[in-house]
Amino acid sequence: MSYKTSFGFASVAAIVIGLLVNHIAHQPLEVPEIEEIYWGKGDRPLHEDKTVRKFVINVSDDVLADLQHRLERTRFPDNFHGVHFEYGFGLDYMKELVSYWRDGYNWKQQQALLNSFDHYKTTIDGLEIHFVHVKPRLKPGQKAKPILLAHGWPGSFFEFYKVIPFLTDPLKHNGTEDDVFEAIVPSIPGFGFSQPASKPGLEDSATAVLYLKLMERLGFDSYYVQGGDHGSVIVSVMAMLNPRVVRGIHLNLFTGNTETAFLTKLLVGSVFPSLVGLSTEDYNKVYPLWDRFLWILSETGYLHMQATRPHTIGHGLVDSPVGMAAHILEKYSTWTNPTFAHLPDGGLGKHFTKDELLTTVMIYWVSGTVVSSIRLYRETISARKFPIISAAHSIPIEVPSAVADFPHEMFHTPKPWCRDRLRNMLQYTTMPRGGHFAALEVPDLFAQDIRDFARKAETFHSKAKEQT
Amino acid sequence: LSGVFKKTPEPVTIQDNYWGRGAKPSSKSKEQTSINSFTVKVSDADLIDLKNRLKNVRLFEALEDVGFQNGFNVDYMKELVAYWKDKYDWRKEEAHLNNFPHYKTKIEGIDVHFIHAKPKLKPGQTAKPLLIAHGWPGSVFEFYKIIPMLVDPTNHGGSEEDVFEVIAPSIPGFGFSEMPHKKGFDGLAAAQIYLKLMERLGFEKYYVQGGDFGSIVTRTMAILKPSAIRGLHTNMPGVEEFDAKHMFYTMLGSVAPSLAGLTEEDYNRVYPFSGKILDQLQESGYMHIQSTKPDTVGFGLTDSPVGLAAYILEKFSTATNKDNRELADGGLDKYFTKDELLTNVMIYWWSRSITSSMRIYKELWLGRQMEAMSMQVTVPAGVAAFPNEVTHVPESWCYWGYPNLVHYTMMPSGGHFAALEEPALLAQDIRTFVRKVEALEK
Repeated sequence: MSYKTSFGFASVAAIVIGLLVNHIAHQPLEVPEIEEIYWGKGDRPLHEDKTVRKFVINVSDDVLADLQHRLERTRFPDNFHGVHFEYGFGLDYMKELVSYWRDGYNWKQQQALLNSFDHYKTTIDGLEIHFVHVKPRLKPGQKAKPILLAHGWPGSFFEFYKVIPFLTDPLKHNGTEDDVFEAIVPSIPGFGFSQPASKPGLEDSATAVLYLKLMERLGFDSYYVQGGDHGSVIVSVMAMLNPRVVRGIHLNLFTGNTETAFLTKLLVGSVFPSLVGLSTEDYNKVYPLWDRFLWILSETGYLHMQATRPHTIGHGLVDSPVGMAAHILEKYSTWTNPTFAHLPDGGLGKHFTKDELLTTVMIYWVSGTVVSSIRLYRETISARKFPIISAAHSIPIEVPSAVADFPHEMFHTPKPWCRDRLRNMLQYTTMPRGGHFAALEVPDLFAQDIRDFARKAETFHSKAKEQT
Repeated sequence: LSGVFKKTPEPVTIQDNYWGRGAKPSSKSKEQTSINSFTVKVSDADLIDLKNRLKNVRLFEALEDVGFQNGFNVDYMKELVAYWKDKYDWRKEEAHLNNFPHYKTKIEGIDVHFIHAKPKLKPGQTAKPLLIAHGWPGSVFEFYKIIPMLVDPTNHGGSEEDVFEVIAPSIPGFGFSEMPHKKGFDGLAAAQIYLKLMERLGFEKYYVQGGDFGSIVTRTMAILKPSAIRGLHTNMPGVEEFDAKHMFYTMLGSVAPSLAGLTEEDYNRVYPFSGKILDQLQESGYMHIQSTKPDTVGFGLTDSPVGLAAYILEKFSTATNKDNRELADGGLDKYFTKDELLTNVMIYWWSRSITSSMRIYKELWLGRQMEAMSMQVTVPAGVAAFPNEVTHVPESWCYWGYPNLVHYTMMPSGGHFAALEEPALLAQDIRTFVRKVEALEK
């Protein structure tokens, strides 16, 4: 298709989709009903086990030997010149990574690192939900702020392994005594050590329900939530469903509002940016729309595949460690910085260690959860979930909120546009550096922003209390 | 209105391409033009390695899957793996493949593989040369049933005059053809290689037939060098440019089909259009990922035979008949034998060509291929419209891209992989088309 006709087609499609979304989303803004579903096999039993049990990650030698065997016999395609990561994960770098994985990477050591955090499991609605729970050492009379950190795809609790100490041990990490948090980091069902659902329909809003129940079971009635990627949708739904328990919501990916107002602003802003409150800097980050659209198109093949035929691509991901690694780690390259595609290692060596990258993959590999994780996309687009998901993207959030805008994040939502939905936004930070996997890439900036926000939120809550 | 805005594209021409490793050799060095016999021969070590991988396959748990709605059904995969591991006989399939004469010749720096099937001719009899072009995720193997029909017509429902000499190449980067080692290998590049191949084999004017990517390559051949193409037959014509004209006729056709040049059968195959669009969206994940990140998805498919089989055979399910999505085996056992399906997969497996085969999709968008798709094919053209093909193009709309359309058949049955599924129907249609072309020439 010529540029011109595909643009024409795309514009028509965009308008049609926008109208469709608006039509479906344009119900009175009330919080939708969310079904209570038993996600385990069969029917809900009369008595459900509600205990919280300690969990230690302990991968069997069989699994490790099998993996080693596969790595030793990896079959690679033939060489292709002139590209690094422009056609996808680079072959030369993958060979290097596989050599390290096979000969240098030490899972036992990584496992010990993971186990240095306290892990637990508890059964909710039929699923074993895994979570990390780190309690800080407190002085008498000192209180910690509870915070739930929500990962996305292809992430895991491990993304937060550097942020957690910043939050739970602030004095050792450039913080003050008041900056102390208690961190709860769950795994989405079907990711890593959280059990996958046995019934269809488990997407972000359902996960939000499970996370709310988890926090209730742990005895928290007022806590902070933080999320990026799918995690940001999950915690937004939490705030939407039960604002009373959400003390503050911090987001590092915020897509704004999907209502027509937003789409109109987007179109008007392309010609008259100041009319819709955009600064020059904002303008340069949002437009040109066509370039943005093309870039999104070039980055969403995985999403299209996962949302339609996850099992077609899934077979290769679960049977081949290198297949899984390519699929997952390609994102750590392009979403950290799109220009990295022109680097021989996809820029992966700039902000992450090989251990960090491989441990991320190992969490999916040893638990065999890559296919259940990608099913999330299929579940998200299913028709019956659409009203809930569109509500999640349009119902205003009244609790104290904050947005951390990282420069290489996939979407930039300008500050004035955030307020459409984040009615009580206390903080909006334009970060100096960082991309999609901000918690892993720039944990210091990430943690500091959470601390700053929490301080503002606490002030807000004290004032609100005084007034009642 | 669309005519007002449409710019006439620059014509496409034969380029000075070189796809080999390293720099292009100087024009002073003599180009290798020998044609060498080739036998398909897989080592015992490779066979053992495959068996081991199948024995140690890691699968996943299904989620109340009934059919192929989530993609390739994992329970059916277990059945396929059991067959593949214990019953499928590669050596037998290899011998079967080697029943056809295979060759390789170096063109533009890479080895191009092709089957060249010559008929047994009576004195004075001549055969019509025909290049038959496969697509993705197919191979020359798709033609194993149709080739005998074309070169030995009297034993396959045809008459003596219907005898062809068939050349079936593998697209560079697919199967036994070497992969291009440089960026930029699209349909234009493939068409050019096919033109040079036919020239090297001594054919000045010949017929071409293609489906899927093969249809793109053959139409591009007709645009680059119409004087070489006696007639073009396709089972997947494209209304290549979804422009204002196409949109207008699509909308008109939904309310006034005859005004838009549609027969009743056309109408049933084209509409409801919104349903078709949704369908396309459901089925085009592979196209999206291959057009953007072929190298990423290629790793799992080169390293896992089951990954490769799922990815490729899902297409054999859905593109054969959309209703197959509701079936537990994706309709695969209904339309094909396990041997046929696996042998096609094996061709990609042994040659490690899945990644290079997918790159073509990305290249399509980067060069001038899309422009070339909007150019008209001026040579005599014939279309076989199979009912379950992915997109249906009504006869009257075919003239936009193929103004010299002389033949159009609404086929009674068959889907995307027509040569494999309905070889007799397709062979007969090629024969009829060729007879029409030759009658018009007189």
